[in-house]
Formats: sequence, C-alpha cells, structure tokens
Amino acid sequence: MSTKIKIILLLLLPTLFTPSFVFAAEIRIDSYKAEVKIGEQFVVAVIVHSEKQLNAIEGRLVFPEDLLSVREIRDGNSVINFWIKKPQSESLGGIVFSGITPGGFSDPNNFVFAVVFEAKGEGAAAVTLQETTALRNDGAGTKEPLSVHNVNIVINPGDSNARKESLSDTAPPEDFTPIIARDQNIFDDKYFFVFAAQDKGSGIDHYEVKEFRFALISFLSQWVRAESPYVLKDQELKSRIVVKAIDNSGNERIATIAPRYPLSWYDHIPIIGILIVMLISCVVVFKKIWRRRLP
Amino acid sequence: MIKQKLPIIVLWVSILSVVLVPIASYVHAASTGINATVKITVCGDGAVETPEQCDGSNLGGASCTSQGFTGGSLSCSSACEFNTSSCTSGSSGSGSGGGGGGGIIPVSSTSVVFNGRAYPGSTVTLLKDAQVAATTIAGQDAKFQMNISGLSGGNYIFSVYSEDKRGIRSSLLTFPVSVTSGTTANITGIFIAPTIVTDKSEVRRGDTIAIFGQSVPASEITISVNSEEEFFVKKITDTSGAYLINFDTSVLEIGQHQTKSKAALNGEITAFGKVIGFLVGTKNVVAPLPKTTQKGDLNKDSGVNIVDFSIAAYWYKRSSPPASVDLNGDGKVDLVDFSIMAFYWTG
Repeated sequence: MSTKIKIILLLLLPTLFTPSFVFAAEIRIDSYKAEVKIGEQFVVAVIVHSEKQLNAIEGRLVFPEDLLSVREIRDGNSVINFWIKKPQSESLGGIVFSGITPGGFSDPNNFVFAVVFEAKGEGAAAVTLQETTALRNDGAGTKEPLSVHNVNIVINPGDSNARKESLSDTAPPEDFTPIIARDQNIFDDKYFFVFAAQDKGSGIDHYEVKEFRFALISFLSQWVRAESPYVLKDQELKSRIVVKAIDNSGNERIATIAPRYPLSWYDHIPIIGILIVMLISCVVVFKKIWRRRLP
Repeated sequence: MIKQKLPIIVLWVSILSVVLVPIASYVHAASTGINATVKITVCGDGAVETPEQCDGSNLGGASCTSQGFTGGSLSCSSACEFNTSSCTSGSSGSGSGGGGGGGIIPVSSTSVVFNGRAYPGSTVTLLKDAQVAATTIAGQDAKFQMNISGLSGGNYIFSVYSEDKRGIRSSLLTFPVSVTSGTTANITGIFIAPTIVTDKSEVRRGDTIAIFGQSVPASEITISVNSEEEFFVKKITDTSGAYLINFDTSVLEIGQHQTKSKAALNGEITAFGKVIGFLVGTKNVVAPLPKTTQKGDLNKDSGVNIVDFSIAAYWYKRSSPPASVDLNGDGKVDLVDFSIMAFYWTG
C-alpha cells in the first residue's frame, strides 16, 4: 500500500463515525446587519431548525452590555406557544428564555423571538447563545444534539441620527379564554385562574386583571398587573373577572369570566344600602345649599 | 490481488459512509415524528387550487354557460365557490352578454377551513396554538370539516386529535400554517392515525396477542410489531372503521416489544400513531384499557392543558416538588417535565 493511500485512508477513516457527530437540529442568531453605527438600532432573531420534532427549548442569549443595550424583545409569531420563562433581560446579564410547543415543531426557520438592540459603543459585539437545550417531542424529553450559530456585529463610529427599528402593529391580541382552577399542589388549594393570549404582531407585553362583584361600581376596582396563574381575591367565585392582554404596541384584548356563583338578591343589600345613604346625603346637602341661597 | 485492491475498497467504503449514513439518518429523522401530510390552499390569493372552484377574479375558465346556464355573469364567493346568482337561464334574446368578467368579492375575514378523516362518529378536537379552538363530530364516513375565523395574519400551529368509540385518544397531529390576512386557507388531507390497543400487557410466548383499534372504514391498516426484526401485518377495517389482528407471538423473543399502526386510503396515508408496549414472557396478563387520565394531567381532569402547565410552572426549579408534578421522577421540575407534558397535550 502506497504511503499516499495510507494517509488518505487515515484521514477518511474517522469519517466512518460521522453520524454520531451529525447535528439534526440547529439554533442560530440571524441579523440583517453585520455592521452598524453607534446609536443605530438593529434586530437579531433566534431561529431553530430541526429535522426531528422538538417541543421544548431553552437557552440564554448573551451580548456585551458595554456595546449593546436592549430596546425591545419581540415574541409575536413565535413558534413557542407557552413560555416557562419569557425572554427578558436578566439582572445578571443576557436574555434567558424557556418554552414549549405542545405537539412539537420541525422544519427550517422556526422563529423563537427577536431582540432590538441599540449600539452604544464602538467595537466588535459577539451575540451568542449559551446553555441551549432542545428536547424531542417523544414523550420522554430526549435531548436533541444542537449546533449553535452565533453572530458578530461590528459597531463603527456613527452619525448623530439614530435609526429606529419600529414595528407597525395595530391588531389586538387574539381571543383567549381564561380558565378557573384549583389544585392541592399550589396556592394552598385556593382558586386561581390561568390565561395565555397570542399576538401575531409585536407579542404580548403584559396582562391586567380586575375582579368585581357589582357592575354598577366596577369603576372602583383597579386594574392590577398580573401573571398567570393568578390567585383569585374572591375565593367565593361571586365576582366577575376581566383580563386584559396588552401587546407590545399597546393594543388590547379583553376576556371576561362570569361569576360561577352569581349574587343572590340579599347580596345586593349592602350596596343598595350604600347607594341609599349616598342618595340621602346628596339630598341633605342639596337642601342645605338650596336653603342658604334663599333670601 | 485482494491485498492490492483493499485500499481502494476501504476508500470507497469510507466515501460511501460519508455520503450515505447522513442520508440514512435524515430518512430516520423524517419518519420518527408524527408529521401531518396535509395540503394547504389559500382562498384569496387569486390561484385556483383543489378544492377551490375559483379564487377572486380567477374563475379557472368557467362561465355561466359552463355551469349549465344560458348567460349572465359568473362570480366567485368569499369561500372560493362559484356564485351563480347573476347567471341567467332560458332563451332570451341574442344576449351577447358583455362585459364583465367575474366580479371580485372582497375577502375580509381571515379564516382557515380544515377537512380530513378521523373515525366514524368520533369527536374531533382542533387546537390553535395549543388551545382548543373548535370541536366537531365526524360523519359515519369518518370525514370532518371545521372552520375557524377571526384570525390575524401570522404563523399558527394547528393540531387535531380524536377519540374512538372506546374513548381511546389518537396521537396529536400537528401542522404549522402561515395565514395571510384577509384570506381563507383550506387545509385538506388531514388523516388522523388509527388508535391502537392490545388485549394483554404481557403475553406468554407462543400465545396470540390481539391488537385492535379504529380508523376510517375500508382503509388498509399496517400494524408494525417491533422486535429485533420488525413484523408488518396488513388488515382492512370494517364498516365501523374497526380492525383486529391476533398476532402469533411465537416469532417474538422473550422481552419487551412495541406495536403501532398506520392507515391508508385512496392514496392518502397517515403517520404511525401511538406506540403501545407489551411484554412477551411466561404468562398472560390482561391489559386494562388506557386510562382517560394520562401523563401530564396534573389536576386529573382528563386533559393536559394550560392549567397543568401553570401548576408545573409554579414548581419550575423549586425544591421538593410533589411527585405528581415531577413527571420523570428526577426530584425537580425542569424543561424535561414540560417536554413530557407537551407530548401528552390535549388542550
């Protein structure tokens, strides 16, 4: 055997084991811009590609905080249906995310979320994905080998005109149905309710909740910023519950849950009493004012 | 001679391994997930695709006369069906007709129409982004149709599942759909995989094990029994869509085995459905029917949905979670438990 052939064979033999190193899935960061100027905004998107069906992913998007600042995080139109940890800037740095897609997804170019960065310093900014995990939709949560592709952005000295990355979204979030439940494993078996709205534009920013028993004085109840699951204040389930989903562009969608146990006539006695007292007070005050005006 | 050719043979084996093995692994990857083979057509994009009769101003060459009328103006409805209300019949004058060409009826609502096959008389549930969007009852021919509207333009993940006459749930059939605002997407060819059950959880080697389930009437069921060697048995379903085979286990080794099934009808074929395990051993043990509560159903309400997700999310990375929430029993609630829950999801 000639030496040349021996060398070729030695080089090719390791490729016999290639399949064990083939990545069936890939998570990558896409950016339309490789170079930006200071003050300029740009979008990077986290994309997953997989031949096998995946149903859960998590990871951390890391970036140099001295060079980049997060302006906005967009998860509208994401392949992830439920966030365990919605992508948010962490105090320790980076953006942590974790979520699932019941039933699974495969195929190329599945959008997970996007970040609008603003360049604030000159240099080379490496935006990387770390601690990434993708699990198969196989009922056992088997780990799928994942190749990771990061991106480098070159930030040059810029002009004074900062270019904004704006997104036009006038559509409200989609209809959603909150569900009331209780379980001995959480909240000391108290009633709570769960909700999850989808928004195909800018993504859901937050939810607000309002509970009230009397529609007439519902204006006295305040909207409270809430997260699902939310422990109900009215554990007797006599209140109407209103949930407002607000997207990142300020569009709103409201869902209402009727009281499970509507109020009886005698439940209205206190409020009728208060109204009567208020009415009498008004009449008394009005009479006093009227008498003073008389000559 | 062989010694001389050996390097060339090894060289070819190496090259082939580089080329073929990744291909083989891709084929395997494509066959493992429960992927839907569905056809998506968009009503409102101006292209006439089956089952559309027309689309906007595109009448596909049809006219009132081709629809059996004598004249008038044929148009297209928002559901991409012919609108013959302006067609005329009877012999009236010369009727040179004139003008017109099918009027475009603006399609304002964004909707998706689903057509497919489940099991005769079964309840079919449609999930939109993992939440129940609609349910319907399939006809006796197992066909069903569902329509959801009021959607935004964007990417959706739709899933369907059904329950057979024994209450056994099918696997979740999932397909992503990109919906364009102001159009109607028609999704056809949805074919839910057959249900499958065995009569024994353990079977004495040499005895038969009954493998049965339900699919579309008169469809061809392929049952796979996975062992060292994979065995395939084919069976045609009866008029109720039911199938049953008695599999002789003398060909199987002692140990754990799995079975699954798929259906084919008129050129359409399902993916393999749920996988059922059974043991070939020394005794026969009757298998109970699959429970209505399943893995991931944390609050035991016979479904796996956002409530169960929320209970698990409460315990995410907290210490000492309840055993019922820790689905893989590793002492913590992490992404793996959520992945297991997502697999058994019912919405």
